[in-house]
Amino acid sequence: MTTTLIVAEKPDAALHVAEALGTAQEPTRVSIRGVPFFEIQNDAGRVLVCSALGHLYGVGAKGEKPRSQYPVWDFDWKPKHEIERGQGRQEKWISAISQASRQADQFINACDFDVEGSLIGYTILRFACGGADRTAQRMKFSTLTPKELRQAFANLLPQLDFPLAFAGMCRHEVDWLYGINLSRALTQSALKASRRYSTLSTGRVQGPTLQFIVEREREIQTFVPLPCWVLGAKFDVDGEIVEAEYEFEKLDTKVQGEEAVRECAGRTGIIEKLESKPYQISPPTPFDLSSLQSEAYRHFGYSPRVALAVAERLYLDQLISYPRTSSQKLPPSIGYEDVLRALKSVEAYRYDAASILSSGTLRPNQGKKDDPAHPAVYPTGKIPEGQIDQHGERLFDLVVRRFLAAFGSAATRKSDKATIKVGRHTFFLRGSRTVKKGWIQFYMPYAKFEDITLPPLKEGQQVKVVSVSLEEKFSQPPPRYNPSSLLKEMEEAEIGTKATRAEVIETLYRREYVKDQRMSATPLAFRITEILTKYCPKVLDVAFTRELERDMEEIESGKQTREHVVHETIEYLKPVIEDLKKKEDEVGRELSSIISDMRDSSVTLVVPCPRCGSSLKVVKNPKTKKRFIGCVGKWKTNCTFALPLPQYGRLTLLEKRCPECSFQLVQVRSKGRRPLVSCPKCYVKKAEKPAEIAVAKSRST
Amino acid sequence: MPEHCSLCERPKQTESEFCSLHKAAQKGLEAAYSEWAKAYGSLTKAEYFDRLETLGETGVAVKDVIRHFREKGAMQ
Repeated sequence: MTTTLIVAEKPDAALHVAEALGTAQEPTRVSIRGVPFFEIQNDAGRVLVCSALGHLYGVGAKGEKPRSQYPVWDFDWKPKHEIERGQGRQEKWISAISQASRQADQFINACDFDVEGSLIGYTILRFACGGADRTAQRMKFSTLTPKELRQAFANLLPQLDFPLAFAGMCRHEVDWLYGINLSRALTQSALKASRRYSTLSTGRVQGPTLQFIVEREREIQTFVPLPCWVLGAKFDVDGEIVEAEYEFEKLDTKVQGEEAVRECAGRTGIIEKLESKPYQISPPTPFDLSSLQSEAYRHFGYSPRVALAVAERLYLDQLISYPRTSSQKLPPSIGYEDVLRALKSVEAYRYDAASILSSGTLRPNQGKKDDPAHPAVYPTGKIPEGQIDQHGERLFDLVVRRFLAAFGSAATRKSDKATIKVGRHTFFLRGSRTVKKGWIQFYMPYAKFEDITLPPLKEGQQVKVVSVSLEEKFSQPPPRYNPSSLLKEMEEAEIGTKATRAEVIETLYRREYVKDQRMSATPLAFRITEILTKYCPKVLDVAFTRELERDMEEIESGKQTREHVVHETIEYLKPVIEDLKKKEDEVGRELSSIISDMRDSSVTLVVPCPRCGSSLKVVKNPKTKKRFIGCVGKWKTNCTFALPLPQYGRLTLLEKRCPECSFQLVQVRSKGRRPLVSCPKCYVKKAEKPAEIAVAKSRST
Repeated sequence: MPEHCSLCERPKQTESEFCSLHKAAQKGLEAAYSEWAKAYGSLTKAEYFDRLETLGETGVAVKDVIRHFREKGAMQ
């Protein structure tokens, strides 16, 4: 009997594949070396479905080399546990898949159909299954619903999607060459000069992304506001007081403003012209990943990485289609009607889905962006049955509402404008309102349009000026990036991929190059960027990074080879890294002072000890390893003031103060969770604990 | 070893006592003065600095430069 081994990307996906492809009974869960496999019988014979755990293989230096050594140009694909610490589970997984592969005659890659999924499947089949990549077939699907999985199994691609896998390999190799060499150059230079270890990193995408933030920070820090004056007037229209705006948005001199106030105050204006114009607002396009991340940030405050994680969970629960897509199009093959009929069974969507179904032809508003592998994100029609959490519920609703809205008709709004003349000055009264809701009704509460209705007006009508105001204002610095706007900037600059951008942003936080939700660059970020600009400016060059990105995309379409792109990368990087190595002392000196300042400021609070006025620091009990806020006055005045701190996650001292007690706030960031901001002093009060905690006798700063 | 900026630890720029950041702030500060003077009709440099120091929109590097000029007494 034939045995087929199917490799899925994640354990949940493996179970769905097994459930969909089995003919009669439920899949049997079998364990090989403690790793779960799902066994089924179908027309193809015996089928074993296993899963990866993300990437089981990665790029590592050829041979055994110390982790500090650079430059490194020779690399190999190696099992993850051989190149990264804490990957013991991966070792077990590889060994189990290897054992299962010896029983198999046929192999199928059923990982997600994109660069990363193709690469995960390819490396497992090639390295763990004894070169099975040569004969393996490929399942292509965009949802984990039984119907689509069965269709994909019945229409297997005869071979693996090698161009996609090779593009993925190339991306990993190029990123590794950049990351290892540049990061080690920075880290080793700093270590040499300061004798203290700090992980410093940069990368092919990370460098230019950090440059965006540093450039913005530079603009903000060197910003000189310019004054301007804004004129406004209130008119009495048949007893109703309405506010009008002046013909010029702002006036550059105070004299102009004062003159206008003098000439308008106490006068009567005349309504010279009334205009009313309808305009249409097209329905939104279906979600691609970045627009989903952007809306999730706007409405729920989810960072791009959190939004992606929640969306992937919904995908694994069969509720939505594959979220890592660049497409804004929904092809008819997804079965519009089936999805809408399924949504009709949910109370919250019943009316809207029925309304769309009864409207006649189903035609969603398609966006411009396309993705050959997947359609835009859409609900599969499966209804959540209590298995999702609040984040999942919110994102699912957003996806459903966006899907419904895409089928809606254009909305019509009307803008009203009244032109009022007061002597030689002109004012405008503006209103706007929705006259036909169209798609807006399906996208509530996410579509927000304010209605401002003007009172009844007639041309030639006289209106009394009740008051004229002149407000002094100042030009504003550009806004800081937030994770969502930075992601958009990266996308527009065409650097990184939909799968990697969110992670790059998280790395910037982890390395302490940026802080706060409104991303501000730290002094370390400034220094790293200045060093890279001085010694290897091309590493920060967006155009160069974009070019490399395009080369890698060309591997997907077969126009470029992986070997060529890797070779070009090495040719470019070699002189840069060798030059950096020669200037290690110089670079180290430039880095060491900032690292020492950062380290000190990261543990020293700006608020003094409320008891003795000495500095407060974040310290760690050497015995219990627990961190807390302690007073350095301990050594001079025997002050025992201390406050507890959260024990898990990366701790940052914020510049913000507690609104209740003015103590300095702290923030804790843990992977996969939203940052938690708290006041150590209020926490003690709320917990009804004494203001001081027992401090271990011996402690260190 | 390069000399430091008068206001921070960064290396100073050639023909300036400041690093690139503070030099850019100084340049912006000087360039905007004529626009401020025009906007208010007349304005001394001391008044200009006073106003900028109180505004939240003013960049921190610009405020550093203003404080430095004050300490040096270079207000004209």
